[in-house]
Amino acid sequence: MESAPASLSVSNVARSFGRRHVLRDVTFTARRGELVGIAGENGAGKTTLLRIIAGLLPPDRGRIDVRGRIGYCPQDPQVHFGLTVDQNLEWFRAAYRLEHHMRAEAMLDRLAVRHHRRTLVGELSGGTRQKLNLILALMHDPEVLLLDEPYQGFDWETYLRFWDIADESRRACKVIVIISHLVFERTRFDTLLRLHDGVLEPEAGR
Amino acid sequence: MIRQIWIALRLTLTEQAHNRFAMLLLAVYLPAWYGVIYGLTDNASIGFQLRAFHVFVATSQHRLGLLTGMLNATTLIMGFVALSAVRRSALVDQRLVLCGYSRSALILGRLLAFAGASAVLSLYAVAVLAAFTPPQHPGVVVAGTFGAVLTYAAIGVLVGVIARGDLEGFFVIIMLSLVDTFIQSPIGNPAANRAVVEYFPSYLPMQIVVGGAIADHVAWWQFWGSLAWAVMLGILGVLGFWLRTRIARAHA
Repeated sequence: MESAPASLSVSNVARSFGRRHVLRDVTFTARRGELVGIAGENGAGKTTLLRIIAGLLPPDRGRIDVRGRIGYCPQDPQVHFGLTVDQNLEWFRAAYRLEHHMRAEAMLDRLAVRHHRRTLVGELSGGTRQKLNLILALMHDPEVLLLDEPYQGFDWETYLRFWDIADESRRACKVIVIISHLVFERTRFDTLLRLHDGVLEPEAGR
Repeated sequence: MIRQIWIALRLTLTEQAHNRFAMLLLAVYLPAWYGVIYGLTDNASIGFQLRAFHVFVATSQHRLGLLTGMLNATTLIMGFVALSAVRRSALVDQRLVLCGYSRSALILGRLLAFAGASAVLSLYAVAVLAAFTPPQHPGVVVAGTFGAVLTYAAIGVLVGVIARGDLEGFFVIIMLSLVDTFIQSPIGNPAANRAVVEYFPSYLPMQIVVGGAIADHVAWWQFWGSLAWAVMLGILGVLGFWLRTRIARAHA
């Protein structure tokens, strides 16, 4: 396990696609036990920012410092649709080099996916696929959670369970960044930022 | 590393087995296609040139039509399976690499799975063919079919990483397989004996398959030559696959 405290620092990150400057100068930090929300309109560059922090995309300039293992949950379920839930877990268990499935097993119960474990993902509902998407991001108990629209497609019960998991992670001194185009409950976040015109600014009303 | 290769190989094969459309093609399309060809051709004699031996062998249109049809159907099915697998796993492959999966193990496992699927498909296609026209040397026919099928697995991977959309990819595979196998057969192409056919991927497999099915002529260098096509295209496919799964920074 990591002994150094988890943290995330993003400094002066910029990224363009052709002539379109999606991120101009993004700077923020998140400390251990902090839950940061990043809101913004569709196409504001939220997903690009999270992909850069996760390591999928290089920034044009700027610096990312991450302390701790990352758990990245992409916006759309990036899973094998032609395999069962169990087989997807096996792929990612090998990727994370985990000796056991204990945490994944606990999350299967918690998010009520256990009875689907032998079902092909392509046959699952959108909400259940999203649950699997989240489990695959968290099954190695990461210290830095990067979640892109993590509760889209969830029913109310699952939405509440998601926040239970997020709150537990916060109490366990993890760093959590959630991006969403819709932020329903502002009080759940320690810090709420808005991505607008390529820069981050404090969310109005906080 | 070995464990990751094994998991990639096993789960890629499992996913292919779950591809219901591909299974339907195997179970229904292949035998139905053989039946259609058998019905459309007759027992009239036709000559086929085995260019490595500079001889013409005489056979029936039934047999030659079935052999051509087998190469056409198997290359089409494998091209589709590889293309479909590569496109469906595009984003999740990158996610796996980001989460720590060895890129080399992932690619090697997937390639081995395609090779395994190609071998199974070749065996199956020749076994079904035997119900219509038993080949004289089934092992040789399987080997020739394997060369063609493996080449189209590589084409499927290559097209899968460069095509912009699924439809474009499928169109390329269908047209390639159709043109490539069609021009090898003197039934459909009176100019099949011209040297230009040698530059197509199905040329060597067709020579092996016909030599093994209706004669006793086998030039094994042709088998290795057919694999060379697969390796050449496979290297390009792997290069595309490698670029597609690149990430900016791996997780610690």
